[in-house]
Amino acid sequence: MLTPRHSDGCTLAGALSVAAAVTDGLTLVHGPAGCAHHHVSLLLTTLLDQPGARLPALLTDDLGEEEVIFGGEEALARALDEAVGREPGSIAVLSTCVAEAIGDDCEAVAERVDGVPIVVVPAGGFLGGGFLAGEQAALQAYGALAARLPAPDGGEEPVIALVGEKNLEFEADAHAKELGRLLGRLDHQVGVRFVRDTPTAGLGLLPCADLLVLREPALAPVADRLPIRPGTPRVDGFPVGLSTTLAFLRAVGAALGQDSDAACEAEAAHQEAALARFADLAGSRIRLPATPEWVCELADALELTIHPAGIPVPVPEPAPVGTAGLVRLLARWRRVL
Amino acid sequence: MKQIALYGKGGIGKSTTSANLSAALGESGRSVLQVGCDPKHDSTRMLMHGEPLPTVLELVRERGAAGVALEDVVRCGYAGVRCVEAGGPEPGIGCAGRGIIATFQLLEERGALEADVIVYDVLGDVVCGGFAMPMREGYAEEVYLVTSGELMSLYAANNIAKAIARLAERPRCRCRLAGVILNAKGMEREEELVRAFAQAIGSRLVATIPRDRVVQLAELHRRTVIEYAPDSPQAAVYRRLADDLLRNTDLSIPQPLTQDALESLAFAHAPPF
Repeated sequence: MLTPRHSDGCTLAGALSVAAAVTDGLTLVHGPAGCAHHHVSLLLTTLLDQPGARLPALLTDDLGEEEVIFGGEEALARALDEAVGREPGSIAVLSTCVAEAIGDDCEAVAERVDGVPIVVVPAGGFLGGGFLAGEQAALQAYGALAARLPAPDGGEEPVIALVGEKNLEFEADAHAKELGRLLGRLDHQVGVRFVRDTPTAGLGLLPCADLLVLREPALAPVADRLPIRPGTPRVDGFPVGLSTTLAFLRAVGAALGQDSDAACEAEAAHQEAALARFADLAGSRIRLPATPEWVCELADALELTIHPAGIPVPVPEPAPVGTAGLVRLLARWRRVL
Repeated sequence: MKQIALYGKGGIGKSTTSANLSAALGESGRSVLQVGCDPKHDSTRMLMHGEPLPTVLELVRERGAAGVALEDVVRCGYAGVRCVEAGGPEPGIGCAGRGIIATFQLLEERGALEADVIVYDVLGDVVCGGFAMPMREGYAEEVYLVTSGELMSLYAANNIAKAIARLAERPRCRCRLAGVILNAKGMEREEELVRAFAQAIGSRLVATIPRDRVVQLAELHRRTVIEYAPDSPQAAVYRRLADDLLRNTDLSIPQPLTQDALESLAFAHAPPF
């Protein structure tokens, strides 16, 4: 028995969240139209909350009883023909429970199609794993595609890849911007966002990566299988909290063989200045739904008291990234304190 | 209306038995419908003199369910037996079990499932819920297990008994085991073994169909034995089977054997080396 978790979701939704983030890509849901409608509706509802959201190209082959009985491969082939005719940069075929249950060989159908690179993501929810499994399967599939693409010119600068951004997160772009700012302290920038707001050709930069920055540690098994040079360093998570943000700069510096002291000092000063803007909160008693280390550290730095009788303040999940994320959080706290 | 289903291992002779049973019932003046529930759609071939029937699923695929009329899928065969073939996907693709469900829904909607006797000839084993559907939904009220004395055949029969026992626990399910039919391979002590098996699962051996070359000859001539050799002892066996099945009211919920018990039973009835 399992109580449904509001924080989880279907494998198909996870896969779709990745595939729909390829800017010139087309996503083909190989399954019943209802499956496609439901998850596309979820995706669009979420994207509409994000500033500057782009509506992704989507299709479904609308499997019905006939395809369940006789197999859905012909329907997939017809839909792929139509998809190719729309001239996308790439096509993602996302399977569904029905397609997996009847054993359609999506890979074999995709192999017969020329002209557009195709990734096939097994996304049948009954296979287990929920949203994260779909996300990871899609990243894996795009990793395999990246290895087949010609590498674009990355210039002389080290290529830093952000891996597995949570595309349904309201603050996904704010997090990426913050990472860009932090990397800028070391005179670097984000080379490739794998996979968010990236055209298909841009994914070809992944195999050239000099450093991977994973959105969260749970993506480590995915990173292990990405087509990158052996020994490519990685940071297993976006930085959350004051000291972790400084540690992130040190980790990046160490990974790329450069001194990070000046960057850390500058960021520490930036953090101090940012906290000073919230000095009026000092002495407040707050109550938290959870007390992860980074929150306790933040409360200490601002001289806030964590107390069961304090004023309840939100602790978002996923946690805010970098110093900018903390500043946004403190602005929310200020509204209730 | 009597609804009979023959289940058993693939190749054991279900279609031959079904067709001859239907032919014998048809000859006796009863209205008979035989429904082939196997994707290879050859259940009614002998009744139709080798003429291939358009299958329900083939036509649904071509025209959509709304475009399929009863007369498109039901054809009259030997002795007035109405014949239907469900059909299904090519081997290795799709879901044949779902095809059975779709076929029954269509036949039900078109009012096809009416006759004095309906004979369902179902694919070898209850490999998924789709093939159990005729039992689950009350179409196959009386299930006969067709088996030989070979261990693999008894395994399949025992598996089907498991399905019946499981489904019979459901309040709405009317499906019961009506007996075991031995389609003999001519093995030593074969009837003794199959009779013991039937008793062990709480049923009985209702008929023994001996091995006879006339069956192959009839098939080569695309006829049932009843039609090809009406005066043969084998035809008499099928007619007797039809009479017995019509009279049979001895229905039970089987108690399937464990694998060990089944193997022990087979071992105990093995001929001496």
